Amino acid sequence: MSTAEQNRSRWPKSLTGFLFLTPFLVPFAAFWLWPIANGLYLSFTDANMLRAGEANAIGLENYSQLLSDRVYRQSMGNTLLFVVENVPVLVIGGLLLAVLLNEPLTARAGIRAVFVAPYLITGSAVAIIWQFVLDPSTGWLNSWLSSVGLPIQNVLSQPDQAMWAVTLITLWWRVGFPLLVILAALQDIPQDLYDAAKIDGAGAVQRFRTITLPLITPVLIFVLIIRLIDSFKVFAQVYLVTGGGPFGSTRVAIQYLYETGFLDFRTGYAAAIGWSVFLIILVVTAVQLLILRRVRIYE
Amino acid sequence: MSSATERQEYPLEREQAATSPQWEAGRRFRVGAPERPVLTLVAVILALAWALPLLWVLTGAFKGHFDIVGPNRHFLPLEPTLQNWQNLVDPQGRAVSILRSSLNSFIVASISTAGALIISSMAGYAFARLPFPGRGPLFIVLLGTMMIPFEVILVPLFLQFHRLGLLDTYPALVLPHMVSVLGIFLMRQFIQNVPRDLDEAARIDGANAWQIYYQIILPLTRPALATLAVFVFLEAWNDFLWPLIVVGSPGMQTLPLALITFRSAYSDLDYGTVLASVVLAVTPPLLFFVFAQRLVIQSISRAGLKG
Repeated sequence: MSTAEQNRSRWPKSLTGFLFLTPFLVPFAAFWLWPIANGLYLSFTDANMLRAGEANAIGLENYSQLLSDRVYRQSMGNTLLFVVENVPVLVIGGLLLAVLLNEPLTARAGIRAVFVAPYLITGSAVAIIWQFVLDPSTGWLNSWLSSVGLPIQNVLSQPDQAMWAVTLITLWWRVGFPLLVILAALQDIPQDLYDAAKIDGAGAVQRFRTITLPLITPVLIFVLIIRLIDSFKVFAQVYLVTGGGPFGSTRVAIQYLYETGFLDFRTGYAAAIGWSVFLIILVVTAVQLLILRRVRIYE
Repeated sequence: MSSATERQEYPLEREQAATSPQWEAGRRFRVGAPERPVLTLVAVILALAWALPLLWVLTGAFKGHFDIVGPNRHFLPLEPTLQNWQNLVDPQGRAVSILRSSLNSFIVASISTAGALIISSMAGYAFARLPFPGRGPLFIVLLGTMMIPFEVILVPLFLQFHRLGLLDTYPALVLPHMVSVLGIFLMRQFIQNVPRDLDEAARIDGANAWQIYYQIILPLTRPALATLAVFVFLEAWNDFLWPLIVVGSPGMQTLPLALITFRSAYSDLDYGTVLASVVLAVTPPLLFFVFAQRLVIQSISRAGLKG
């Protein structure tokens, strides 16, 4: 726009574009961009909700404190444990279910719907439903176990079992997403490929390994990465089923963020926890993409 | 069942179908592929196991307390009672009202959805069709912010609403759901697939940008709008973390929060009431799923993009 004349002819058109964007840009700036910037700033201060407006810049102190904070390290360790357990369980579980539900079954649509239904339920309902199942004295699991003569389990009070219980609850709750996405990929594979392989004498396992798996690999990677990011942000089902216990063995990073920011009011430190989670997600996703890319080259 | 030739006449619909799972995909199989009885049995048993927790909760909502937690209990309510539902409606002085929180959930989810549809379709139209300086870089900034998890801005977003004096209000519950970068991404993609000839023809007939948006783009993008609506509604209806932080008074609680209040108020006396409140909270989304399976499934598949 060098001359006034060009200005006149171009401005109204771009003004229209901005007008259409305004209903988005205003709340986006106020409730996304500004909090992102402000949160980054706060993470370098000692801001505290009880001392409003008295934040002092303290450089990287919050971040260096994170490294030596025992509770942070424990909750980040628990988060990683959850990720390591939960990502394979959901991706493989979703894959197996998708393969099963891709077969010509009777009432297939109805059966599929059952596995998707829990995805639509709110996290607090999921927590209550599973406490009702797993409670050591009143839960259904134990009365069922004891009726067939098996020992009673108290999974939620065993530090080494509680996270597995949460993982299985998460499988029940969230498997709908991997299931649907993988199912769609399976249905995009042309039937002719299988017919040709059958004529060549390939068995079911061989057909799965040489046709199905290579063709759905991109989708599997997509699901893997989405589940990975999602698992790092785990909160509701853990917080509401175990409360982070026993002995902090299931407290996850977002729960620590919540407690630090909204129960201890340490705003600056909580902001640093949030950014540290994001950084770890970024690094892990990048590393995973690099590894997976290399694996695919060798195939 | 829609045939391939039918689809070719509707490029928008074909685009939609190509990127979403075919729910009932019988057409992918050779006609008359034999059904597999053994695999069906395996799948049915698994599905029963999946449904069992929900069925327990459903039957429990019609049982008395000791028929739920006592030693001699049964799966089906032997003495069905509506007492739990009466407790929900009339909390007898307890500070929890399921009616109020249901209403809150409906208000929050509906307004969030309406707002997200308007905002996302307008912005998506701007990004797809209206040239303005900085359009490309701005869109890249949007995609970049999509990578940042909501949890990262939890604290500063709370402070922002605090500063605006909006904590514990409907705007606080609604506004974050209205700003949906995923929604803009979805709408932009869909609008780009609308043939440009349509808006060119309208422009020659003297239509301005608003008329093209309102009379041509909006009607043609109905499938994308429906997907986005289901997505935003479910998110707002089921959200737990954000209401947990911005809601202070019992009267502003949404259902996911009210369930937890009910759990602490009733679990020792009337477990059935807790279960009834769960049934109430999960029924609307599940009912909707029964009637609009395809739509819900498209939304779930798209929701993954949000990460």
